[in-house]
Amino acid sequence: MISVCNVTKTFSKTAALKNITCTIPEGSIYGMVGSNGAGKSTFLRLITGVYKPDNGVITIDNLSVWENPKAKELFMYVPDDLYFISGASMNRMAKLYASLYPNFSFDRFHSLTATLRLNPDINIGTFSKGMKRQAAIILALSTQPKYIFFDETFDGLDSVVRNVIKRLIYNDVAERKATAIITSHSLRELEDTCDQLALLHKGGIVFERDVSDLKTSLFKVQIALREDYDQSVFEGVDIVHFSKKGSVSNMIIRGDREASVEILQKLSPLILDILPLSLEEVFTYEMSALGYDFSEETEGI
Amino acid sequence: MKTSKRFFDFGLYKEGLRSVQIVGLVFSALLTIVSVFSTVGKLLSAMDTYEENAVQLTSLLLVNPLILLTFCLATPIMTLVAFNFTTKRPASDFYFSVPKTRNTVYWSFSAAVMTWTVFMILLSSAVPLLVFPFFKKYILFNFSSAFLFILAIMICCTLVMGAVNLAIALTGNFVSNVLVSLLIIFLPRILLITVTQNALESIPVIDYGSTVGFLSPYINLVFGMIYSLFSLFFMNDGLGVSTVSFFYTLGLGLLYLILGNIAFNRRKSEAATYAATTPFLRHVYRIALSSAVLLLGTVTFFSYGDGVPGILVITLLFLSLLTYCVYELVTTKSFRSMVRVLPGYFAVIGVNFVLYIAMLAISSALLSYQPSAEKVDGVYISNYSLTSTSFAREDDAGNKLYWSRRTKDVLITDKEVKKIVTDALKQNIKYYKNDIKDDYMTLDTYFEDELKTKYLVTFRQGFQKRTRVIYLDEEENKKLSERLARIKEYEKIFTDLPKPDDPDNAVSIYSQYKLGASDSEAGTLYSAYLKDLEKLSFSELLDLYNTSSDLNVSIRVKTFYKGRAYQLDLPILSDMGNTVDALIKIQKKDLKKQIKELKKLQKSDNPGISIGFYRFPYGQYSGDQYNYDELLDIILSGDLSATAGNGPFATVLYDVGYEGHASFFTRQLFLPLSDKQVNEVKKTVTKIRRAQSSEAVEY
Repeated sequence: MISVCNVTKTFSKTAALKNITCTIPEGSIYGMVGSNGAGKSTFLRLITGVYKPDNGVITIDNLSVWENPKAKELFMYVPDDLYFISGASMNRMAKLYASLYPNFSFDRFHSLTATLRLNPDINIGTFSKGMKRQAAIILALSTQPKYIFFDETFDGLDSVVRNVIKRLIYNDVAERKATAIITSHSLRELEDTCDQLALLHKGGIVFERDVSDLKTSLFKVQIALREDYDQSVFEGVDIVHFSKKGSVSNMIIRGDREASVEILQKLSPLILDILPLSLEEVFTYEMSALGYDFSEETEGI
Repeated sequence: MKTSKRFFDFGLYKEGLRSVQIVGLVFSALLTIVSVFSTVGKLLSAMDTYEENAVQLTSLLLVNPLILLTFCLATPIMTLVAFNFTTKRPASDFYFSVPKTRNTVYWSFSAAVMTWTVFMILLSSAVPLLVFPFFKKYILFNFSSAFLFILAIMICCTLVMGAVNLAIALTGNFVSNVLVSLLIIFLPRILLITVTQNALESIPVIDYGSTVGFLSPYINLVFGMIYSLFSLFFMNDGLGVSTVSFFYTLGLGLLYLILGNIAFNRRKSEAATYAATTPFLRHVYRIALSSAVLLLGTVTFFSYGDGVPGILVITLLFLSLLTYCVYELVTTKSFRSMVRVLPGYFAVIGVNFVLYIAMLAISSALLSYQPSAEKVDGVYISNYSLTSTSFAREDDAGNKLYWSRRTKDVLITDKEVKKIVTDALKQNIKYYKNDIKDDYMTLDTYFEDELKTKYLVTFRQGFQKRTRVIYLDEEENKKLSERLARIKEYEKIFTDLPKPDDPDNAVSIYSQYKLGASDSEAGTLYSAYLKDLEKLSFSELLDLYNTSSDLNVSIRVKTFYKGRAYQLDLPILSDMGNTVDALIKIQKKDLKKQIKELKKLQKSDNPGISIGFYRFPYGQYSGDQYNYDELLDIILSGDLSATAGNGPFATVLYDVGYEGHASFFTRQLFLPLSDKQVNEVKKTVTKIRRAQSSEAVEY
């Protein structure tokens, strides 16, 4: 389990992360979404011990991360800016990783390079951006870590490779009970991958929830009644958002779907459609409910 | 799970070895190839010019001078390569996220660099070390000094690695890595030496050479070696390496390594690509570098005051400002940043002002020391020329000088002596302050028309010792010599020389020419020399030790005093009857062969023979050198089995092995002359002089 408690990190008087607190359970895929500069990379650099927090405590399996090789042996970090030794091949990098990570498996390395059809003998410098990402992911997965952190990792990958890699991560989580943290500025990227999602905004986690809960917590209803009406007729239903055009209303409702529908049925509606919400919509409405205005920041999400 | 290792990890060490292997291999190959060629070349040259007793001496530095490249280039480059990850953000993040402590990363990579360094030093040194022992007949290789030299080079590499490590930990890009490394290695000592040297050398009663220890440039082996880089190749064992400099340099190197470790542990990964880990440090580096440039003007101003040309001041100010701006521009690549820091240039002027005040304060404090005879407990006195003017009282080969050491042990409490030297010091300071200070002269220049004798005097007051140079006129000097001669303990230093038959003493003949005498014969020569000394008074002895040999031959005695080795050079003068006879006798065994060689040479087109005459009855030819081989017939016509006694003799210098050999040397022969020969020489010289009157030398 990763525990982050009241962590703050400041760069030149600018707080990149402010009093962050979160807990990431074992055997899950934790997604962290946020716009550029929200603090996602800083968060990963803190929990990997690259940065020392100004305040707060970060532990992995109850081990403090900062300058603690025992804790660091538990995870592998695939940053946004990848590092390869100049002129090195994947085989050369594998030797480096093997000398640093005790669980590095050459079998897995060879199997993954074969799966992703990368030649481990040639200079990584000649690889395309996407191939370099694949190389970094292969090397990271070959260390067979208990925790693996991906920073904007799916950028530059085509959909086929992205799916292969997602499957590899699922397998690791399922078979080895590994835990993954994936950051992205795109909610769509994480929607079908993560068990838990957190939204990072201006250095703070403003929202953290299980994806399954999120998807079922809100639903959209389109309804039309015979006579004129306003929002007050839907008393007993927890409406997060209400809009009306003519006799047709659109509502975002929180709570038990069946109980809410039963209340609405009693109004003998002319139309009553229950529509699914995308995770993006759920996020937007939940954040609006919390009073956050993401009109600018969520443009890219 | 693997146990964490706090300071060393073999995996990282191997990675470090791999990361610098190209640089390591290139330098190892270069140094070894040069070493192989040089060793074979030296050996062939020695065999080519070999004659009996003509063994060549060599040292590791002479065989492979490129070994200095290890600490000048190889080690710093390897360190920069190994820690190159600190200059790139992704690489820096990677190494700071791996399951190793920063201590482990730091020391494992440092160990890898040091391994390559040691490997290349040993590999390139192995060739002469393994080859020369099989050819002792032709070439003598000093193994103990070779091992010390290897150790010195390794210590230098440690210092350079420590400094570069520290610079890397304190900066974030390649340019600032290099510049700050140079600052750390050179700036403190340049500042120290420039400030103290100018402050001290401006005062003629201070002997800068006697400011031993911390102020000596040679105490820091790296600085010392580079300081004397251009003269290195003329020394046998080079370098002036002393025990103090070994420990000082090693200590400094380890200190830099530890400071580098502390800075590396505190380093933030985000410092990569930046000129410094904090903005404050960036200002410090820039100001330090620019201050060093301006310091040249400050010390010139200190030494020459108003006499400094304005253009020099303006040029140095401009250069310093240029350095200031270029440093900022190069390290930050930002023109705006350069403009923004311009007001900080006043700090450079401030630093130089502080240094100027420091020089004035040092100078003033030193001149204020004028003790009265009563306040001084005692003095240690050494004739100035008997002490080396080089740093740390060592000669070029690092041998400690005998007289300096011995006189240190005799505290002279004689009231008269104390009065003579304290009065002289006061008088000298008065001359300096009143007559010469404003003219920027030295006392040497001031006294050049007067016969003054220089002494190095250490005044002891309680636990304090202060060393000053004093100048005595002829009368004062006579008085001092008389008083010193009465101090038995002091007199004994100069009269009771190391014994020739003591097995601890090594006696050799030191000459710029080949004499055909072995070290065993040097003992005989030394015994004869001691007999000649018995006839001399104390003041005559002091005069003798102060002069150079008119025959270019000295006896070099290496002896032990209180468990340490010292060296004294005793000049052989042409008027020493026993010693010259001993020289003539020593040469007799090979004389026939040498005369044959000489006659053969005489017939050649360019014989290269020089002749000198000594102790002539009329005195007029003494010491003159002739290049006329007609005189040789006269010299060789005499009784070669005779000795000179106190009579005249000639020296003949001729080049051996000039034709058909890769190199040559000059042999010196000592030949007695009969009265008949003297007359013939006189007639011949006169004839020659008349014939070439227009070109004649003034006799």
